[in-house]
Amino acid sequence: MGKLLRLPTSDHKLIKQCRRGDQRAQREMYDRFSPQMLSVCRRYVRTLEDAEEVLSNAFIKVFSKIDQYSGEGSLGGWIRRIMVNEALNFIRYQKNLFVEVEEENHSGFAHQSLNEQFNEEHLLKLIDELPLGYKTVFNLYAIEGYTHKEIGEMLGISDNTSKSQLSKARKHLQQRLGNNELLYKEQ
Amino acid sequence: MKEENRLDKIFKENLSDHEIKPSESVWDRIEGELPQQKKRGGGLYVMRAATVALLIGLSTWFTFDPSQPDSTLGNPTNIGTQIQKEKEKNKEKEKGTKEKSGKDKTSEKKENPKKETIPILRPRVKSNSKLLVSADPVPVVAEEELEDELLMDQVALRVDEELKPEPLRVKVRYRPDMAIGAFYEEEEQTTAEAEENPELKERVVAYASDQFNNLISGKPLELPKTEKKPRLEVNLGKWFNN
Repeated sequence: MGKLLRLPTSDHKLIKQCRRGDQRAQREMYDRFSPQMLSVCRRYVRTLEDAEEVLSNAFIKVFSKIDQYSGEGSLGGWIRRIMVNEALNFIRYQKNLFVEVEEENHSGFAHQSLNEQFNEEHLLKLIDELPLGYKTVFNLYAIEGYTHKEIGEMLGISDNTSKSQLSKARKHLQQRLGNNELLYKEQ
Repeated sequence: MKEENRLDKIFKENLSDHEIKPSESVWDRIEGELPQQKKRGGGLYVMRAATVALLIGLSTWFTFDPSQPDSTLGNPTNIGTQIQKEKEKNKEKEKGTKEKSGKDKTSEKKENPKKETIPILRPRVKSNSKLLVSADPVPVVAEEELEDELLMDQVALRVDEELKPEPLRVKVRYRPDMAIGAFYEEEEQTTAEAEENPELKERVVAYASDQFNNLISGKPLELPKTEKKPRLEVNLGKWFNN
């Protein structure tokens, strides 16, 4: 297969091909978006394994629902929404299975240098440490950008609960990052 | 308008574009669950299925020769035990094992895919019937003919196994003592007789070529026409026209 240099297909064309069930196009779409989407999923669940499970379930939905993509908003954004929904489903499913015991990790990160602190892996780890409720709301609000109202609907909680979960999450994270560092943070 | 929280921003900016490479198994799982391909994708599937069906049909057609009431794929086990018994009776040494296995492999190689074993060429009445053939130039049959027949079979066999499309090369040695071996207890006698009879070599070569052809085309094998009466008569009627 001499397809070494293949220009990426435009979003529009790719969508059209995926609608036809073109496997090569589906693979291309997957390759293009999956790394970022895996990171999204990873923020919501506790292990990489779980994240991959969410990822695969979500992509299956992406390909079967591709017809429903109206073109409104970017393709990446549409896919991301499906990811988040699938992650939430997964959490709900997990919750039904067992009671989660949250352990608080009090290792001291406060004195690390700024660069190290804002490193992607490090931030991911901080989020990982959060209790499930705080973590979920923080992800949805601060990173995904949903409103409290939307979050309430998605999680089946009230706006106020969403707000309080968010502020608790922030408090936790700030402790980890260290207040001082935050004050001197450069844009 | 939302007030932008500094903390939120740190996380958002650093994690929005973060990537983690998924393992291959993820795609495998997705691929397995994808909805069926539509339109021409569907046509391709039908074509493939049809090709496989055709190949299976061809292979069964080539396997069973309708002109035989008793198919050549008979009872290998029976023959096996008969020959086993004969072997035990005879005290002859097994010199020919090398040639035997060489020959075995080539014919077995052909037979295996059919999932039933056809016993190797055993026209001999007495055991270690290693009738092996041919003199030094190895003209085992016209190889051109062989190739054609092989190609036909290979098409059929591809369903079961990947065979390389090479013509079978059968390397054999002429062992006159083996050729006559069953008839004399002592080796000297047999060698002597072989030397006395130069025609024997030609006959042996011709016979083996014919039988090999038969073997490949699925026809039944034939006992050689000998001048002397075999000492032991065993009923192999199913397998040989004699």
